[in-house]
Amino acid sequence: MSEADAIRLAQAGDAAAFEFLYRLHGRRVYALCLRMVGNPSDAEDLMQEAFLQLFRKIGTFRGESAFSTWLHRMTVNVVLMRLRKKTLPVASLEETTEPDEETGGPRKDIGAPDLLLTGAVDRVNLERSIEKLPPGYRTVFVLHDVQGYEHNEIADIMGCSVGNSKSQLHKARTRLRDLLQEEVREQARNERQIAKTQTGQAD
Amino acid sequence: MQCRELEVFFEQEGLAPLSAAARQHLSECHACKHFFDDVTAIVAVAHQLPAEVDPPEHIWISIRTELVREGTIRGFSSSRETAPWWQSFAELFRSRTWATAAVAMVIIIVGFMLGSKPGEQVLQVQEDPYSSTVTALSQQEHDVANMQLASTGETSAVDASLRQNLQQVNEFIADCERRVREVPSDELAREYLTNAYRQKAELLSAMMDRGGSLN
Amino acid sequence: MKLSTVLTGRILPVIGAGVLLWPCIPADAAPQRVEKHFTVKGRPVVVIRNIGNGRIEVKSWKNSEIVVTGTKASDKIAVETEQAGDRIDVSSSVVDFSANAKEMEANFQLTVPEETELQLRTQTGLIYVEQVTGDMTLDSVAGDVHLKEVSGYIIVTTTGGSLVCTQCAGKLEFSSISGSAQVLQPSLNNVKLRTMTGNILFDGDFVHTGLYSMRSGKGLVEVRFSGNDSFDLNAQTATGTVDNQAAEYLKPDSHGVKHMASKFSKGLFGTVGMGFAKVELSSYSGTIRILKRD
Repeated sequence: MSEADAIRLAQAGDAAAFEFLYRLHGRRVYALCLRMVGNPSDAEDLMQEAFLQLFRKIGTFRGESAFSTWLHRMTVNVVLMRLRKKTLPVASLEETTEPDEETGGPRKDIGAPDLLLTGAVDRVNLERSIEKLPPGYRTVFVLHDVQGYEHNEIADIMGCSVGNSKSQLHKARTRLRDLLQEEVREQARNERQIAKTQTGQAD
Repeated sequence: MQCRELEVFFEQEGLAPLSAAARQHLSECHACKHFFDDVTAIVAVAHQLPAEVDPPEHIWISIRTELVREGTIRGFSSSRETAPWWQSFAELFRSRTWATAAVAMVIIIVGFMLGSKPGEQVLQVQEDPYSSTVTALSQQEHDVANMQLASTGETSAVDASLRQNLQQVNEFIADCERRVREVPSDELAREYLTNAYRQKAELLSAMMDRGGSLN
Repeated sequence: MKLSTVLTGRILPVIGAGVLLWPCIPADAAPQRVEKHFTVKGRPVVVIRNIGNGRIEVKSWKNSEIVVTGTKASDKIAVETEQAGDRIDVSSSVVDFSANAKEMEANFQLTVPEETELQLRTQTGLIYVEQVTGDMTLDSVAGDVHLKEVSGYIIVTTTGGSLVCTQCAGKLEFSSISGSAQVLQPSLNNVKLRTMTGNILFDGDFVHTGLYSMRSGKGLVEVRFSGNDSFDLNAQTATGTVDNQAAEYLKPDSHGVKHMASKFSKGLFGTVGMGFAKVELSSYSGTIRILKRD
């Protein structure tokens, strides 16, 4: 069965077609939900909600955009609505870059901290840092750098401009850099503390 | 190119490909080179994160159940489902955790079956719709009892409380089952019985998880 | 310090975790206490998973700081704390499985900003929360949950523990097998109470457009209302009894919806006042009681 056939059959209420579409897109949707909320329980609820909305509205799909884009748009809306209910700050998609007007030089977020992240970033600490991003930044970063969507697709999903998508991605990466550097510093502090304690006990 | 211009470049064009001016600036500016290396490392690891993750099977079962109930899915037939619908739960009994989730799904489907009005050709009603649920819960309870027998630790207040509550649940279920046998059309009794099975499934799951974490 | 030393040194299981280092003292020694302070900025989230037995008490203050005071009974239980931005995680775990119930005890006292989200889980101890605003998920097996002057979306789940909720506002969901629920002087606009064998008492006002659903399998469901209240009532029981002590205030349902008890159940339907709120009571075999407060 092709996706187009499945959509047509699903619009007529065919059970196999629904399941085909779920199997085709479910893994990506679940991965997106999981990265957005950070825990499997909420991710399962959100995924269920997203697919139920999709299947209830499938009769209105006319093919103006790709089906996966339509699905991801619904998923992102469902997730962001849930996160808004938890009153987490949602980075506005209309924010623009603010230049440093004093010197025209590098802003403090392109700084020269002591720690180089090359070799220090791994999947575990990156996942943890992604969870700490504001939802708007998190969405764009996950869609682009993890799931591989292009900016025009992200703009379609998020309902923003391509320029905003690029801007949010840059800010998300910059923020992640700050978060990861803090993690590495904290790890170094903990190791020093442990070393000090063990030295103290040995004395 | 100044640092500020490089930042605008990164924002508009991304990390690759770099223009000649950008490459030139990176070779001269340690701070910007540092930033570029860090973000490149972050993106490289991000690409390694799985873009797809297998969702638990019970999500599809929940979605399908809801869509059937709403009537969004018409004609419960699938080229994959040549076996009777309740046998699709067999695959969920691979692990004890999913056994409990599967029991909960059975309960939900049974509840919808009983809630459907006469004439709706959604699913075929069994004579005793709870029989598979009762069997699954009994097996689960048997597994929990065996696990507790094998446990070498002393019985804690928590374990005692869980067992006491399980006893209360069983007594309540017995009451409701008697009522449903005597008066099969009593919807309130059936509703309470369905909820009681669900609560028993959750309780057994909690006892199983607790035993697994302490043994 | 070279980054390579940081990275290639001994492996730490969790980056950024703060493991409280407890001195090694005999198991039968005095309880060990430690206090940690966390600075927070926005609305923090506190997550406590207490696998040992013990109380969790949470109170609020006006500072942007969270103070966690933990007391554990022995070295056979470990306590870890971790801060990730505005999220504080506190967890206890058993390190020596020969620990008896007494040795597995860990109690926590927290002081948090007034607006804090809580996710608390314990086994047998009391969970007590006072004057905190925020969504809360509170889980206990056998311990009770006492809430005073809290508001938010409150979800309480117990196996045998009971809930006492005094002067709470927002939305409340309670689910238990044998625990009871008492809701006193509430300002809740959405209430869902479920217990299989426990009792339910709701003594308070019904907010206009509020939805109130209370259900017990075997226990008593009692509702006390005031002269200012206004609600539609739908009460049903399969084999229990309905004790209507407010007959003079209950008019036939005035909203055109005909409710009738099935021939298999007993019911009580009607409207108090203008019927602005909706109240649904159900007990399988227990008693449903409705009365007006003096």
